[in-house]
Amino acid sequence: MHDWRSLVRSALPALTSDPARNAEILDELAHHLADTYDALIESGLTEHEAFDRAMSELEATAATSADLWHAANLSTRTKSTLGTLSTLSTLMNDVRLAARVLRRSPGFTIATVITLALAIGATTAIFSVVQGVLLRPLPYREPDRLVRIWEVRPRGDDRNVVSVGNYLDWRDRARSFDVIGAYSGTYEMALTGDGDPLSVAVSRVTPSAFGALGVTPQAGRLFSDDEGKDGAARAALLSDALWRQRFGADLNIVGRTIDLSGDLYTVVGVMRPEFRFPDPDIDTWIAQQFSEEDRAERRSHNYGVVARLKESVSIDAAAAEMRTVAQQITAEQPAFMTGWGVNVVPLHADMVDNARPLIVMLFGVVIGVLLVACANLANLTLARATGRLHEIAVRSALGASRARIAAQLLTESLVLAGIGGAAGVVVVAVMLKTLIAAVPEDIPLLHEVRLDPVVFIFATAITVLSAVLVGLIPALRVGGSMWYEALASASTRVSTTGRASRVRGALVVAQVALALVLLVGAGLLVRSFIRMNMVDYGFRPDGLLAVSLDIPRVKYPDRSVQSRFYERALERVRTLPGVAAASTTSEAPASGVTMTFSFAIEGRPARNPSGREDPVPLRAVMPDYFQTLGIPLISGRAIATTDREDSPPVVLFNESLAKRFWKNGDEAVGRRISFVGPGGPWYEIAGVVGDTRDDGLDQPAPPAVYVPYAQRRQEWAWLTFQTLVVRAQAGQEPSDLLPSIRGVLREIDPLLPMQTVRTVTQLYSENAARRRFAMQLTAGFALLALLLGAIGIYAVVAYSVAQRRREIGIRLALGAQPRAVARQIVRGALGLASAGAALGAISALGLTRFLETLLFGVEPTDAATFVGMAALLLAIAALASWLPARRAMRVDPVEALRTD
Amino acid sequence: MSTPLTERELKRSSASLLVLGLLDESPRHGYEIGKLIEVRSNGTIRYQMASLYPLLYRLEARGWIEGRWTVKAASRRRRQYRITAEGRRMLTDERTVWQQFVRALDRVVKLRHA
Repeated sequence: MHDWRSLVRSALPALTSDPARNAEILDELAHHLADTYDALIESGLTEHEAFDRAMSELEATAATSADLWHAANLSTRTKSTLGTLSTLSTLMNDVRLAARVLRRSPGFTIATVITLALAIGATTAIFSVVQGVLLRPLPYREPDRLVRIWEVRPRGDDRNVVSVGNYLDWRDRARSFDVIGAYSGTYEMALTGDGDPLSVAVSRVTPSAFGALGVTPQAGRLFSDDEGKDGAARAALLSDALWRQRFGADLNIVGRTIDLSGDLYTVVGVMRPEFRFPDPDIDTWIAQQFSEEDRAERRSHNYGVVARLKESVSIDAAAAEMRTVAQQITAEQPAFMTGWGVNVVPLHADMVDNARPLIVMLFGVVIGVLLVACANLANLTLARATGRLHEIAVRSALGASRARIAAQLLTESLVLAGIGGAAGVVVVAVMLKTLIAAVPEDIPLLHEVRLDPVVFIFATAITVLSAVLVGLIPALRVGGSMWYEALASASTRVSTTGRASRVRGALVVAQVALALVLLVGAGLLVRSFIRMNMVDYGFRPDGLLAVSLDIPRVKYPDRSVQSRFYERALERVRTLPGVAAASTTSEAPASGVTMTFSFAIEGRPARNPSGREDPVPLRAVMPDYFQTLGIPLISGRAIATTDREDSPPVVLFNESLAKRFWKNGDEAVGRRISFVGPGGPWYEIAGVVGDTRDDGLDQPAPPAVYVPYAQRRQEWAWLTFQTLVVRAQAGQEPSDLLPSIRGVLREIDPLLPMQTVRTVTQLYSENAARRRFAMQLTAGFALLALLLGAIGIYAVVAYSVAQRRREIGIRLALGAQPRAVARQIVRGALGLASAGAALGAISALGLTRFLETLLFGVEPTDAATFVGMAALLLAIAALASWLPARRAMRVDPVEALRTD
Repeated sequence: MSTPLTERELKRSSASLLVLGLLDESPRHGYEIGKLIEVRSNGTIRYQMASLYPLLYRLEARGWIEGRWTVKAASRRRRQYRITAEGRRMLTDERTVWQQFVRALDRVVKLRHA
């Protein structure tokens, strides 16, 4: 006697959530088998034969248990709503069935969920950056009305900062704006009192700038208009961060005074944590006061200008009005303003335009990875659906409509994508802080990146989209005629029909094409990066430490006192153990800030009505600067200790500047220039030195003029800042010198905070951060796409080898060489891969031009990269198909023929 | 290709007629239903376990048949299905439809004497 009930139970999974109902079904099916067995014995079969027949019925039932499950759950759930099935309960059933089907093949399920989690997670993460930086409106009142106004340089930059005189004229004349305000760039001041001296980032802001932005403080008030007037009491606003860190979030700070670089400021309020203008890391805003002298200033361009458009005024109308205003100003000030224009830009666009190509590129890359992943999974799902054809065919024969079966398959991919998407979003949520930390700091508005409802809606949308992409093709194929063919065939082992294999081939081609596009992009970025690192800096950057200092003018009022401070500091630092050489400069190499000055050349008519040439970056440096950095002297002499305040003033030109005026750069030596005009006072060009890549390695070396710090003009007494550049002795880590340098400086002035401390290589590395980030991310994603593509090829080839076992067996039996069979299989796969590579190369040709701003020294259509990446891809494709092809070689003809 | 397809379609659309008709005669259990269909159709129509029980559960869910556990002396405990009032109405409808259909076919192509 056979225990039919146990046999049924071990063959079938639980069919309903109701144990009693499960037991009933088991009993009923067991009885059926027992009756079948008894009847077969009665008809004269042996026990063995009868048992086999009964078991084959059970196996058939197990193979189509999904259908049994479906029917069983209809009867327990919908007895009350006789006859009609609500869509909802059908859906619930589908989801439950899907969950069960997926549990049955954990390998497939886990692989799919992980792939989708990675792809959806990465896409969501990058989208959160897109949303935070590019899409979300700025956190100000009616941000659409905010504009930034720039000056336009003659023959040059259309985003030039603004002179005070121009700002004031714009403010007084333009009618398009409700409010117009100005703010300085960020600079550092020493906050003393209440503990150690602290270097704080400060911006000077006109009271109207806050009004234009439409912000409110969290405590106290904003600047009053009076506080912006010359000679009024000095006022400061604190950032939330500084208020918490330095003042323990004490509200009583409002109304108290703080000491900033020797001047006292009354704290009038504390800004909200989300207010980060003009830079994310501002600690303190101080009320800008323009002196009489400032108001007339047209030469020095230092201010950002922000304005709020009047409600009814369009940006074009405002720009038109501003052009008229600029023309008036030029007519009134021909010496300063000839050739200058004005540029009105929406504030948000102004902040993010620069970062847009990188972000859009990365978003394109992750979408590409998502598509590759979906194509891969669609292929896998299709293969599985083909394997399940018989089950599906039987269900269809029993009354399930095509639409129901297609819906069921789609539900399965929805459940998969749902789990994958949820996992992806959870990963993003947990890791967002880490992810943002990995994004280069110079991407604006990074602090605005977070998981907001829009990001969640996006994540949901791409999850559904992935599900449709993964499930739709299989659902259509299966919802089509595939299973009729399956049933029609005598065997349950259905061979892949021509159409199914064509669809799978097309999916592989698409994957390979996408992978190649990503690989080419990554290849171009990697090559750019390598090119950039081969660029000559113009000096030796390793072993250099840069320490920024700024001495308060209150304590060091004039040029000679200031020079003496730095001379003393240098003398002491040079004697420290481990120091090979030291000097100072007003701006460290690669620091990204540049003061520019214009000058007249003696006996040479200038190209501007002002009588001076176009402005060029200027550095005020101490003796030994060139020797310390390793900048070569090309002709003449370098700056020496003898170039003192009272000796004849000299300057040095770098090579590009000298060549701008004299074909042979050496001719510059001995000529004279004046920073005032054609009438002097004169500085003699004592020498020409080599160029340095100050704007980063990917930019051409800018022209530069060097002035001995001791000989800078009396009028430049504001030039109180210098960066100490220290070269460590060979074998000495430059950052190890820091404690002793700090000790020396503290002895000279205990109240002086050290500002930025970096090695020069670090400075360059920060400069290149964006490029490195783009490269690393794209390369990582491209490798992921390559891996997925390889898996796709492997799966397709492995599947077709399994399907064609019989055919291969016959061919081997007829004397075909195993190697020839394997070669033919690899050749077939390479055909698909080549088609994909061709398609990918064509797409890449169209797409890589969007990378142009991120490339360096490499064309977007660089043939070597295209060919190299295509070759890499084909090699991987060959490998991925060789592994299953080898299996075909080992097919045993006899066995293959017997197992049908 | 077309022959099995038609058979299948026929089997699919006639399934409820067959089961309801058999249960209208008397209550029966699952094995008996399958066996009777096979025997009376001379083996032309066969329902195996894999397809029979999902069919029965569907009809039950629609409220056309009703399953009950019965114990007969010296026999196994079995689940017997009986037709419900609603099932009988459905059966009447289906019978009419099939009769009309077969008659129509007959008029067209002389099925009975072919």
